[in-house]
Amino acid sequence: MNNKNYFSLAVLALFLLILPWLLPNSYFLNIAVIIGTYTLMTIGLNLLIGYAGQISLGHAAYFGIGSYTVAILTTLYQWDTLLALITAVLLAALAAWIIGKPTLRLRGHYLAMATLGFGFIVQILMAELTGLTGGPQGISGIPKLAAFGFKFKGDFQLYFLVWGLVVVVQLMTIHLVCGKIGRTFLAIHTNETAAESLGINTARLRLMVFMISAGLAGLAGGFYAYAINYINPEPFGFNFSILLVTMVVVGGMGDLWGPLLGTVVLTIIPEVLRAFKDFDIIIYGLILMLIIIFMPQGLISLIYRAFGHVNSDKSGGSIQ
Amino acid sequence: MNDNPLLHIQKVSKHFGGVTALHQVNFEVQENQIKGLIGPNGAGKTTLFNMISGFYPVSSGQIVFQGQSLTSLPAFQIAKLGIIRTFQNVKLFPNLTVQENVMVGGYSHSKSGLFSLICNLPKSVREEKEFHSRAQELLDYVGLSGYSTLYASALPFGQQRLLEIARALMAKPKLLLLDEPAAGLSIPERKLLAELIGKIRKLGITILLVEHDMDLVMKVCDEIVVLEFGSKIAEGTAAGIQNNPRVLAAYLGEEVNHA
Repeated sequence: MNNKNYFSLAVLALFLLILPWLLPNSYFLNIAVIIGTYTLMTIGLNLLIGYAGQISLGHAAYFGIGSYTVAILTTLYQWDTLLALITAVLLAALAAWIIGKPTLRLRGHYLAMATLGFGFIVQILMAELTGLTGGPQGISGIPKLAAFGFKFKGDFQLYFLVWGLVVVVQLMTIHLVCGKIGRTFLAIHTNETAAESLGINTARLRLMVFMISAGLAGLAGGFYAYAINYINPEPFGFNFSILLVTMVVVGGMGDLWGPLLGTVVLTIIPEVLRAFKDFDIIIYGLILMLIIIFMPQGLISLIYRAFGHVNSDKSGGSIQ
Repeated sequence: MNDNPLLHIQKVSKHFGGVTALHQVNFEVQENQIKGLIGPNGAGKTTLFNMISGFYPVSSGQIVFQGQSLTSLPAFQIAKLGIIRTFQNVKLFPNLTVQENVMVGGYSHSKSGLFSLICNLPKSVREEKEFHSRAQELLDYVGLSGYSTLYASALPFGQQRLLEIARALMAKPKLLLLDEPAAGLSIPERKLLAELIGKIRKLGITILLVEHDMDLVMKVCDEIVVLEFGSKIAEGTAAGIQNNPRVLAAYLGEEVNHA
């Protein structure tokens, strides 16, 4: 199982290495950077939804916490940019610990409501804590990321940085999912009582995955702040949280490669649909409906079918 | 009687609303003993199992394991102390293979951390290999050698029971609670089960057994506790229990005098 995934990852890495030279202009390169940023988040969100079986409708909040941590530390306190990025990851994970400790006892709709509420609270704080966050105007003048004597400033550098991170994170995710923790989560899914009877602390495992997925969103947020150098509360809202969940579900939750595919497709479709002017949102909605109706296992199932193998990787469709 | 029992049930009661499922039950399980727990349906055997393993809170009284009170400990922590149970209606992980089912049993004893796991450090790789081979050994032990790569759901019922026992052994129990392990098994399978229970004791594992199959209970148990309507009505060796008038009455009904 691991070998197949290593191979897929190697092919992906190779493709990513040559992709910038295939793209006609920097508009496409920009989109590739955005996709990379979102992918960092959807990989984490998939761990939470597809493996741990928890929903988060407030994931944009951790993305925002990451962005604002970087923005505040580098502009108000002139922190080292790499240190600020690491702090962003840790703070997002810490926020998840604080929220997760009481709320991960909740299930289904109740957990959805709690995470939804948290998302709203964070966005309101961003707009209202004017002294720290600059309020609705946001924070400008965020520096570029400088690490190991290298400054990531051009589109090319950002592209390789973000996709380099994605490849590393995906490699770690493969180890996580194909090892004892992935196996244990599949077990918890089907019989939590049996898992507990074997000494497995299911609440602690859920909390850990929640923190990992929030930390990855924090990483994406920090990168985002360094990439565009200006942030305001607007992108960190409910719509974005829903978009992230949609990417995971459309791509194929509980599959290692589903979220990557979902992120690529759902980022590109709106760009293509711009040609349809006012009808774009209708067509977008229609496409989503068709995917969910005809491919409930996600777009990734289409790829597996095309390559003629049933998804023997048991992670596929683990939530049913 | 040993003063230091492995498990000590002290005046344990359980009420569900107004219903008393167990009333002031007392008994001890000594180290490396096979103890049977029998009684008619509804006597409270499974309720007691659920309390020992932490799935139900105790209404009153105390359950003490190796000198430590289990009251208010969550199920997973009780399992970590070394009390592992099986279930009357087999609870496997049907979406995992037979071998993976057993490997999940070892999770609480795994030592490699998250960092080691995601970086695939040698420590994690070695541990995974160890788990793999130990799971295979246990499958051989219970007689499921050839089935490792099948999904658990593909096994016939009798073998699912054996798999559940192998998984429990992987969790390194000091005390193994078997909840009606013979239910649904054929007669030859029951014979194998009796042998297996004897073999498990030789590993140094203490066993508390709930079972309706009297032949099995009489054959393997050192001592037997009899429950009826939530109270202990007898305790002793197989021979003693078989001739106890209260036990006979509980199982066969009171003698009715015809006029």
